[in-house]
Amino acid sequence: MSTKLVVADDSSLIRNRVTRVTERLPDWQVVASARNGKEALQACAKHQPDAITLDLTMPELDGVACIEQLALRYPQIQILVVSALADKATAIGALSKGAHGFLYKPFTDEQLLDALRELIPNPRPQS
Amino acid sequence: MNPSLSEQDIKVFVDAVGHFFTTLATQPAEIRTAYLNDPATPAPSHDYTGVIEVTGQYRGSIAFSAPKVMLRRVLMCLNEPSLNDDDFLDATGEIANIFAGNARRHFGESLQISVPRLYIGRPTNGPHLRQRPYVIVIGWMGYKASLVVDVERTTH
Repeated sequence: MSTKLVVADDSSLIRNRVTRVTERLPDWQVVASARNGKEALQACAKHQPDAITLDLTMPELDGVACIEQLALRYPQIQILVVSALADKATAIGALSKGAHGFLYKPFTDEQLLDALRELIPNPRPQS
Repeated sequence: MNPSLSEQDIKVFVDAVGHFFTTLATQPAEIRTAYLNDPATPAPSHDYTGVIEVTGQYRGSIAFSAPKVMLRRVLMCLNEPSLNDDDFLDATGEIANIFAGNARRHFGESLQISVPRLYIGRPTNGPHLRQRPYVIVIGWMGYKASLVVDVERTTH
């Protein structure tokens, strides 16, 4: 069983890019993508992922509200916030609500790979 | 308090543009010019425009507009295989979001930003808040795009 990832961002450009870059990591699998916080929660309920990448500025249910819900319902899921909001208070706020990492946009492929590796240092080997 | 943004405030957006193109598209952008738009002339726009509404202790909007050929090149740099109208619109909105979001490094969380509104061509959201919004003209790989910063501080 590989490490399962949900990708949540209102931009298809970011969703596609995170998915493509994650494919370069052995033992990781993107199981779903979501366009807003509501879809992200639904995807987590359905797939029970190990990790999620989460934008903060999204329609329907924004990222901060989604972090609160995820931390409450699925505390085992590792949350990597991927956001353009570059002020320190936002990052500290997200981490205090239950996020485990924060990656600023724009990011390089290597920065994303490093952030995912730090999020789950020992991913499950594929079976 | 003077509601207008200062030169230092505008430089934050210029820096965000530079950082974006250096990080994502590997080729640096050049700021061809930055000016206060003439009230008699519409602010420049291109094939696709993404607009971020600004609220909180600031109000107004931040709009990124670019031609299709430039967006196609950006998406190719990102290895994006799909290149249709929806992708160009999405990219325009995401780039506007990144410029506005990165500006919070300077303005802080009191600069609240919306999800992007997307337009093919010129936005239809009426006149600008400021009579003379700031226009930043971006050159990249021979293409020309614009960032229109129509933002001011609220008095309260």
